[in-house]
Amino acid sequence: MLNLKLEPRHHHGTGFALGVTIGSMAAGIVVIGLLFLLIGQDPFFALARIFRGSFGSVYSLGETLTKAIPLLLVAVGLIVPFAGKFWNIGAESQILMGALAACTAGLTFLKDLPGPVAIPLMLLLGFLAGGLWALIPAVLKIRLGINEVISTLMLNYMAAEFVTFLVLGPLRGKTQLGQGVTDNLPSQMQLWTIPGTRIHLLTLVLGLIAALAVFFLLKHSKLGYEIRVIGENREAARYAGIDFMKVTLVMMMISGGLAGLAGVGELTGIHGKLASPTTSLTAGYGFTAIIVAWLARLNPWGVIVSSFFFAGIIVGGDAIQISLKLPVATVSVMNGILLLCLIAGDFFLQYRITRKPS
Amino acid sequence: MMDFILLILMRGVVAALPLILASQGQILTEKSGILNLGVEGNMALGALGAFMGSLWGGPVLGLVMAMVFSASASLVHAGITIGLRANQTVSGLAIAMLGTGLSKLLGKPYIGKAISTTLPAWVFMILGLVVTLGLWYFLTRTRTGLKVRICGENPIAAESNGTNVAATRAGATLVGGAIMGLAGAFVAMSYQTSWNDEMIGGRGWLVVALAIFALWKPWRALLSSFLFAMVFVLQYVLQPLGIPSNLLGMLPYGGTLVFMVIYGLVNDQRKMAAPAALGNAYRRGER
Repeated sequence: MLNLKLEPRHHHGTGFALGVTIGSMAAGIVVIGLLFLLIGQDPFFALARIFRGSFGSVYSLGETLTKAIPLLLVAVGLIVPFAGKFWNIGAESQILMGALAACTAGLTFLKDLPGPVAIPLMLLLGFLAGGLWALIPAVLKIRLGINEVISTLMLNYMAAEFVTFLVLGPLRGKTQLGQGVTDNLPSQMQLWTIPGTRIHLLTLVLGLIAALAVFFLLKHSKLGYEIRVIGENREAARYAGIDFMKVTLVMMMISGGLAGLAGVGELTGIHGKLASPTTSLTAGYGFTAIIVAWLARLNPWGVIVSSFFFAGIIVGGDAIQISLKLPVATVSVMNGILLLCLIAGDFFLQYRITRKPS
Repeated sequence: MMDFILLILMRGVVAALPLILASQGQILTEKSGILNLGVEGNMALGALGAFMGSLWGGPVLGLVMAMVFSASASLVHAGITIGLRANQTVSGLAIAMLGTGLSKLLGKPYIGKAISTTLPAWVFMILGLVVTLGLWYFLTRTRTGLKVRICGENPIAAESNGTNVAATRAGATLVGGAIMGLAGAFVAMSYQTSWNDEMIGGRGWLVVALAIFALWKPWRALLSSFLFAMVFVLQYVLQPLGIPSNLLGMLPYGGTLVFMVIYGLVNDQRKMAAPAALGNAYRRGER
């Protein structure tokens, strides 16, 4: 018909992959522009506004970097299970559980401790809480074969309702006049931020360290190798006798733990308290991080770049919400479009189009 | 007492309707081998189409537009997963994200508005029964239905029998999507009286679990929908007991988890019921 045929592409250079990624993103931006046109907005104005809103001034750059921190931590964490094709969609609740643990501890048995002692403890507790919460879907999958997309999603909803219950009830603040808010954490538990911005440096550094750690884990450790084998060829992993239970538990502990750290970071660096709705803290980071990780093709260094990019979309999205009176959902739409274009573009990494011999 | 029980059961039936319709669509899609996690997006777009259609031209237009909007999302999913052989899990997630986002974005002008001619629930009850019956008949008693099933079990065998796997899967995905649109239509045209942002409220994800729990069989899905819906209704039954509403809010999701645990305990670990080729991309001529 068209004299074209498809051949599987057996290998491709990183340069080519990068080119395809950039091309996919560009296509995505075009589609977003078309969408703006559809809803009666000037696409160029809207896109320019987004760009200005996220990268156009020192202040916006600061805000973008601030929002990149949790994305970085969570996305780096997601690389690990995703490499093993374990679809952790539960990062949103893992973030929340980390924040919950740290907040509860900070308001109770840690409250009289000095900052340099309390904060590391809160980070540790947050890591453990997020990690343990993430073990639930791991066990359910290995023991009972329960699809992890469903279990992690259900746990997301359950955690949100549970924390809302706590914040409206047992954890309700006595010093706050609002309904669904806890007390503020003691001031020594606020993370230091770069003056003039909201960038909480400690968590940023933790994120970068995590990227390094995950890089070494996946590329240069036995566990990382096992994870990748499970992801690439399940049958081979089984024949090789890889312990699925052990690997899955560790994968999820790391992923949930890093998400929990992000939660503590948001709690101590930005909000200083827990409030309802829980999305005021988690802000969809758990879902956006999925795209961040996927865009970076599960490469920790790529995640550093893509987390900044998607933070820009969030901040820029806020900007056009205000100036163009668009709803919050606009950011989800943009993210969805970008993700679809990204996986559509993957086609060119897997196949090459050649002429059929006549 | 009897009245109370009947009332609960009726509420359960009504709550089950979107689940029934959407799960039938999901079964059709997944039976052909295409994993679909985007149901939430399909339903959200269906609700939007139904609302807009009803406002512009009445209930019939509403139903039609619901099906068209939802099928459009499925068209994208099919195009990407079948045509471009992309990862079906990620594509589904993206559709869910995009569908719900678009529904909120395009639905913003309608927030608070109400349709004047809503459809009574019994219309959708009949639709639900007809679709379930029709799907069962189609899958088990027709040649095309058999082709769909073979595509999901063993696409290589299907292809060697002359079936165009890509076209069959695409068709199943599109029609399945249209049926899911009807579920969204129910929520927008019957269950609620005016447009609001969180129309679907996570039910699409329950449908994903439902199809698995029902072993991808239409009649089981009908019954299971009712079961899942009763957990929804249970929230409202237990409320007067003084249990905090957020804890009760955990019930539908916790209930779904419990059902999945039961499913996992009862069925063989290898999930013999799943279409064998579910989630795997297929390329003509490939081994």
